Amino acid sequence: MDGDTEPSGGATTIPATTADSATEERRLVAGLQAGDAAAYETLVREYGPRMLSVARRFLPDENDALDALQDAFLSAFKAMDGFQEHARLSTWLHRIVVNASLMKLRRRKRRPERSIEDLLPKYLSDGHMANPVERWAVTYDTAVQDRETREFVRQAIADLPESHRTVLLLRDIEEKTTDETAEILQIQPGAVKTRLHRARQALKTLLDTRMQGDMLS
Amino acid sequence: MTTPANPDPLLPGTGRQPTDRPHTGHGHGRLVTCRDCGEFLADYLDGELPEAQRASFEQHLRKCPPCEAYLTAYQETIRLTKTCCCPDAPDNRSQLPQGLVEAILAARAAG
Repeated sequence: MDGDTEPSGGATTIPATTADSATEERRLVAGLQAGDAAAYETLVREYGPRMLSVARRFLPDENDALDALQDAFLSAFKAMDGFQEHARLSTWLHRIVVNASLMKLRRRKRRPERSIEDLLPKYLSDGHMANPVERWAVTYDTAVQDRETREFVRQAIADLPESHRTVLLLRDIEEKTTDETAEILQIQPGAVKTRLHRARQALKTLLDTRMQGDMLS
Repeated sequence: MTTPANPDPLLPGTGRQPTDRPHTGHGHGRLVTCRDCGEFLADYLDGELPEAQRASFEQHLRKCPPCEAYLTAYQETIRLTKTCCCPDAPDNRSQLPQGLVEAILAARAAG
C-alpha cells in the first residue's frame, strides 16, 4: 500500500470553487460556440486526460482508445452548437466518448478473447464449493485509498473478456439499465444479466489475490 | 435469472432454467446448495428472488461461511468497480499525448 489519498469527488468541494468552475465552464462554452481556436485547445487539454481514461476502459488497446478519443472530440466539435447551457460539459463529453468507444468496438474486427470459464467458481457434483473461499483481508476503505490497488482493479477489469467487460462497464459504471445495455449491444436482456453476473464473478477472482492480502506492498 | 436461461449466444446450452432455482419445502423441493448461491447471487441482490426462495437463500448463507464470504467479496467487487472507475478517479496514465492533441486540433482546423 502506498498510502496515497487522492481526492475522490464532491465531498470536499468548496462552494466558491464550484461557482468559479461553473463560470469558467460557461466562458469556455461561449468560446467554443464562437469558434475560438484557443477554447478548443483548452477543451482538449483540460478534458482530454479524463476522457482518455473513459475510452481506455472500453478499449484497453491504447491505439484504439486514442482513435476513439479523437473521433469523440471531432463529434463534439460538430455538435457544439447544440450544447445546452444547463448541461455539464464533462457529462456531455463523457457520453460522446462512451458512444465513440462503443462505435469503435463495433467497427473493428472481433478479436479472440480469453474464456471466462476459468475465472468462475467451481463446484463439486453435490453442489458444494470445490475450492475454499478466503475472506478478503483488505477492506474496501483501505483499497480505495491505495493508488496501486485502484490501478490493479482497473487492470483486472481490462483483463476481462471484451464481451463481458463491456456489459460490466455499461451496467456497473455507466449505470445503464439492463434493457438499455441490451439495446446498445444488440443482445437479449437475459444475456446482459448473465454476462454481468459472470463478469463480476470473474473480476472477484482476479481481485482475490490482492484483496486476500497476499500482494500487499 | 428471470429471463430464459442462457439467451446469450456466447454460452450455448450451459445455463439453467428459472425452474432450476433453489426451492425448499412442500415435499418436492431441494435444499439450496453453494452452486445455487453462486448462480443466483445477482438475482438475490437485485431482489428478484421470490420470497420463499429468498428465505431459503438467506438460510443457506447463515449456515455456510464460504458462501457468506463469497457474497461479501462479490458485493465489494461491485463497489470497487464503481469507485475505481468513477469520473473523479483518473487512471495513472492521465497524460494526453501531444501528438493526439495536435491531430485533433488539426482535424478541426481542416474540417
